Amino acid sequence: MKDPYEVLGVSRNATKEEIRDAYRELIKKYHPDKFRDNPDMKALAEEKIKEVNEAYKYLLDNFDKPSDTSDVSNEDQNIFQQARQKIDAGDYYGAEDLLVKVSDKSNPEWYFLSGLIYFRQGWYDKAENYLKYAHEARPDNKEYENVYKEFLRVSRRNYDPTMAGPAQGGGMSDEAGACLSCCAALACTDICCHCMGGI
Amino acid sequence: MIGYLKPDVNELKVKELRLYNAYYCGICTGLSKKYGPIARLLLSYDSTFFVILSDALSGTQYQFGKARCPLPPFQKKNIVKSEDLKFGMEISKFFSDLKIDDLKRDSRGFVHILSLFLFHFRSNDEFRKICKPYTDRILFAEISEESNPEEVADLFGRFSEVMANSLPNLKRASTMIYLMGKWIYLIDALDDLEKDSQKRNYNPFLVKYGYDFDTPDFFVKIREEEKSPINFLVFRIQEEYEKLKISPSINRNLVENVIFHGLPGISTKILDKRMMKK
Repeated sequence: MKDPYEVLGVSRNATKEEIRDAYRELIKKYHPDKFRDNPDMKALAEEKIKEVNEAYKYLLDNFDKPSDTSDVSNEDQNIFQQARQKIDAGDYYGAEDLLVKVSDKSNPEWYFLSGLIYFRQGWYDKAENYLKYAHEARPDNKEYENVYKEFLRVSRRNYDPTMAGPAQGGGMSDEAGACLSCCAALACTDICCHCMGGI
Repeated sequence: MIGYLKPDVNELKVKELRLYNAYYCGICTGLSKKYGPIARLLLSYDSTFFVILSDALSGTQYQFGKARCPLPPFQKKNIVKSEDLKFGMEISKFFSDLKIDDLKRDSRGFVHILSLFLFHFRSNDEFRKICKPYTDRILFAEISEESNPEEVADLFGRFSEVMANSLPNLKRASTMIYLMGKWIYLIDALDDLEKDSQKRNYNPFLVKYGYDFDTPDFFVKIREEEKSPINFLVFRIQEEYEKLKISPSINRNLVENVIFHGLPGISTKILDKRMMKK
């Protein structure tokens, strides 16, 4: 489901130079020769390089094309539909696999569904970025707005998940203390009463 | 005992605490029987939690037995006898195997020799095969100094999920277990900030915030920044728990205790950690 901008670690309005620099940096970082000693690691590095190459190619190919978000190809529409069903059923990996196949990855729907998956899987930064992007691209879409607001609600409120609050460090609370000292006072007075010949 | 999925004992009823103890005594005795008495030390809170969760989900009636424990030696302890205990034993063992692998790779001198010695005690089980893709990727992230903690946590979450899926009862809870795996990874990394920076070990948060040790209260700042993501994760775990709709039992109370008191309590404790003694 990887977003090409994210793979290269550049912002959405990066220039061609910035994209190229980021690309070179990553190729250097993951160069398979660095992992020569360990064949498993080398294979993973090659995988990473492939991912970076694909993202770079995608961005260069689509650099000058205006992002036309109004029409979605039938095929993509179909995938979105299936992905939604998978998300509803709780199959997030299945939905991710579907979303990778989408050809136009600048579509707000793609961002929305990816963001929703990130939300459910507990990714804090990514969920926010994706959902926000979808909401800003289509401010009139009620669903995007609701999910984004829901995310803000659960992540921004000064939410303290502890039902019991912070652990009590022994001793007693003021109220209990006041109550007990009151009892003690009463007991003392009671003793006094007995001693002094009261009932 | 090691691990982060601990119950908050202050919030438990006495009978719940007794059951909890019977569970981990059960795992402990099992470990000792199968892998020798030293293996008792491998017992972890996390594996105990998963066994309890599994029994809560299936609603099985476990049986109690008695076992002798070296601490104290003349008293027999109650233990739970349940099929799923084997799973708890195996993951405890497997985690320690991974730890040994780690040691062998990173350590020098005395510890290295010790790890070579321990290496022979590893059990080559099916876990190793299922988990290889994930452990490899985590290692790769460490070597290539991955700067986004959530990426590595995601790998760890998937890894926990795959392991838990080998127990049929836990399949239903797989999303929750994935989220818990993420939480464990992140909270462990936040807990070890000071240690990792001293020993120059990989820690994703140190990479993310750029080893800026000159800033006063660098560690405090990181923990402050990471509060919201951690709380968000705990919230998601609790939300997934609600979806499971487990029928009432003492096991359920224990699971709820860990999720609603244990996790938030430990998060707060680690996130509010102030200066450590140097």
